[in-house]
Amino acid sequence: MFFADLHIHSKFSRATSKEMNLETIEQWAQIKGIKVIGTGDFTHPEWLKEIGEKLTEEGNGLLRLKEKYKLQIPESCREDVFFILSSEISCIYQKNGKLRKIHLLILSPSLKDVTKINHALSQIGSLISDGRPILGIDGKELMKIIMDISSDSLIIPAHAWTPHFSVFGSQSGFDSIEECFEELSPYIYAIETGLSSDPRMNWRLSKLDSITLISNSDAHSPSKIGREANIFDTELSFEGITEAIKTKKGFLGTVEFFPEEGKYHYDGHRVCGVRLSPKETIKRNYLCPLCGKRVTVGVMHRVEVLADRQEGFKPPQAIPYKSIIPLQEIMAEINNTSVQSKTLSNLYFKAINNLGSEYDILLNKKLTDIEKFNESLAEAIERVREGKITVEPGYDGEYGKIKVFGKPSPKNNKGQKLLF
Amino acid sequence: MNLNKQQRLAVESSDKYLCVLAGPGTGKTHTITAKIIYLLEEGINPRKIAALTFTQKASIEMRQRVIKKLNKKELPFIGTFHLLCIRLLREFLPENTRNFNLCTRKLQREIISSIGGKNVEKIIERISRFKNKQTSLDDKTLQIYEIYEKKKKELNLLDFDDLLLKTSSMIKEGKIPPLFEHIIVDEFQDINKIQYDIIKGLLKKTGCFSVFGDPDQAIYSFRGSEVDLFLNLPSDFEDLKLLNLSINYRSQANILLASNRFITANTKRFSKRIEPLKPSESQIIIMEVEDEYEEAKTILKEIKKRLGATNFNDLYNNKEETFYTFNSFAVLSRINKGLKIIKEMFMKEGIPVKTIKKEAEAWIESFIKELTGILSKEEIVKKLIEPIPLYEFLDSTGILKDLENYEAYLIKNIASAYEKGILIEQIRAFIDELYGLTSLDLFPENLNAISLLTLHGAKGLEFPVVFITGFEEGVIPYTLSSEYDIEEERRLFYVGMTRAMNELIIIYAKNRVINGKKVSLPVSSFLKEIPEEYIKYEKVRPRKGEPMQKKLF
Repeated sequence: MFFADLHIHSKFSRATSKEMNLETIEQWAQIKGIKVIGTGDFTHPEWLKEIGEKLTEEGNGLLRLKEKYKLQIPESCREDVFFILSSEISCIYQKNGKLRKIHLLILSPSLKDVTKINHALSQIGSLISDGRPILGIDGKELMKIIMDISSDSLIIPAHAWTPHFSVFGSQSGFDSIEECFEELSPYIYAIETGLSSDPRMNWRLSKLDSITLISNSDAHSPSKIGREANIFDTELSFEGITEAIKTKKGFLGTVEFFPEEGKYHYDGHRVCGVRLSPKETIKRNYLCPLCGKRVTVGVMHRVEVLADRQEGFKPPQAIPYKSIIPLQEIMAEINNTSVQSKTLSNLYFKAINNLGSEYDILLNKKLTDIEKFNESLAEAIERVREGKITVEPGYDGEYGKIKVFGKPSPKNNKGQKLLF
Repeated sequence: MNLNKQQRLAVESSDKYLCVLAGPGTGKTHTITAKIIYLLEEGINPRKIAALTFTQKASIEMRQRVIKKLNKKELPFIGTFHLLCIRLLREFLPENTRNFNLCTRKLQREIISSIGGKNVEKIIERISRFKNKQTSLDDKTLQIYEIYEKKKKELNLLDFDDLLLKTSSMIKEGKIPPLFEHIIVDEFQDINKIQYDIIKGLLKKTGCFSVFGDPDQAIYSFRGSEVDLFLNLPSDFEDLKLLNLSINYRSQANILLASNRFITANTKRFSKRIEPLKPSESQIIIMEVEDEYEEAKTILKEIKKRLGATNFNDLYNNKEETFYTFNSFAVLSRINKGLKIIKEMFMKEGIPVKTIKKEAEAWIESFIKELTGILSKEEIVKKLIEPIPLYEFLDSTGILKDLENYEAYLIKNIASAYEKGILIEQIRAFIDELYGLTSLDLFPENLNAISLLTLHGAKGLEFPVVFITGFEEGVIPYTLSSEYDIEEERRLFYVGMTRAMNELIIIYAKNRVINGKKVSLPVSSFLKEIPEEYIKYEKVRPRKGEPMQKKLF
């Protein structure tokens, strides 16, 4: 069994951390407990060059960081990490009279295939200016090009529900996979649920029963790696992973954000600070009650529109999933400090050193073991595992505010003392 | 086919000499195509019809439309003047020379530099002008010219000028008889004297000729075309029937009416009626910017405003709902260099752009080289005398696989006009045609990217939103150039304006670097020739001591 985070971005993408280099990514994958991590941005010529220099192909469609590049890792979480060639394309084009903007994730089996793909795509647009290139190509046409060049590559609609750049997005997406991909729809085996939706929400669409619901971090900085991931029980190879995605055999499920924490769960208008539930949005005629502009319709609303099943429906074949809150956020709440603070960073690494990788702590570690390290943390993790948390849902680009203990945290001071 | 009243008159006219005045966006190509089909349906022998165009793109488009309607019947000649001349020379030249090869630009360069000419491009230009217009040549160039001609003769080569000149002289000598009952000429305003003589010579006594065009869009005088030939038609042919396609399907009323009023400042023109089908939308926007960098930034901002965010960082600054896509926008410049900074900035932003590539010639050469390479393969040689349709053959060789989408599309469309006769004959004709392709023909029109074009390059295209840059006196009109014709400059700007369907945004910069020198030019004098009622000023800041100011505020 292993965790895989198939979609991240390198330092060559817009608005990403300078730290997103192969060495640090490999390091953080271990801290988080991720076995297989996407390279991200293979369409970027300079990033691909780095991939070629620093990684070696293992012959199983995956790659590993050369020994000499490896950074220091706490022994508690030291593991082999494998890279999978991945990239994301932003397709912006017109279809049926409407502007469409959708992001597609590509997984590819070899540097050879990737080189060919890049050659073809460089005829359509510039690959050099952004690790996630913008191409004015129809999503379906892009898929055709990639499948022609590399039939083993997989194309997966990224964060499928995000309003602005996704296949089901309320702003510039489609109402169905078929509307977007037409005769190639059977080759869409999976969608990314994105941070703002979880499998439970997706189960409400019978059309998605055959689709594998995968989850990735889409990380732009190292500490965000693995905030969502997939659980595989299959051969550690490109074929093993993609077959599991295609057939669901060996695909054990996903590790998920609580969808309310995602930036687009609810509707609203960020500039005015207005958060609306889907029902309120409809009542207010999709207009912001403060300024009268159109609100951004979020993921929950969009699911509601496209769903053909009641809330709470669970298809018989449904694959389970686990909801988590990032460990740093949990610890920040306990210690009443910010996620970015140096204090928290120290505490976080102390926990990793003592207990193991983040996933190990969040998902596997016995509560009694965590208790020995820190009582509040054990209590918090118990609550997260049981889903006993409170959230103010995110909307229009604003992350949701998630609390393990509610506000204010009763354990605040106690926790802080204990951790120091 | 759907035709409006005037279009129908043009299609069904049986006048011996017909001149159709067709302004921008009035359905000229559509009407010509309908006329060809009409003639064929009337039972005219396809071999007695010739439709002439100035670009291969136009002829390919017409052929495709005719082929669709024809159902496998024989296609009349639809092609450029050059192609027509090649066909005629291959038929009517004496047997020992009719298998001439084309002296391409590349060959020209090779020959002239082997003679020892420096500044090869200039010499080629001078020789070409000498051959076409009998301009004088200095002794040195004359010497090079004579050796050049001799070499071509030895190698049985004809350059592009020779094609027209030879055809013309053979017609005069009676070696090529009048062949056509119907000659149709597209873009007649671009014709030159030799081409004009050729069509007159090829028309049978009983035949008809119809010319379509718009003298206001004549922008190729530097290539030797003469708008006077168009303007003199009424005096050349007393029985000339003049029709005017007046309904414009392209531009919203403000753009159309403004451009139409603007062009009346010219004197060498026909007055033509033009009526907008689309109601008025926004006014033409005039913007002032500091320099070429602000110009580029402003355009980028305006495009993003209309396109919505292109990445997450842009969200919230831009509206989201739009019918535009990258393809909806064009940025036009009078001078090629005017697009450089804009291109760089767009590339940096990761926004797809397309330009007219200069390497058309090299591309054609390499494609033909690859094709001839395939033909010499043993298993292919046998096929050459079989009646295989050309496209089917090309497809089977795999040669199309390595082409870009739009290249493959172009090749397919050219090739699909050839399907009769033995393969080798089809290939010969096909290669003759390929040599006539220009950079303009290779512009990937369907590629979803923002077009960056010169005003010349934009001719024949249309875009929902058009930006015209460098609207400064000196650039538009290009009076900084040593040779300019103010009326042609005006026509060129008119062509630019009339590319726009919904929105036209015209920008001038207070400062700009031209040829390495920073200059401050006043706004174009053309501005006052556009009626105020169609204009809205944006971003224009009042400044002291400038005469402009009074007018603007």
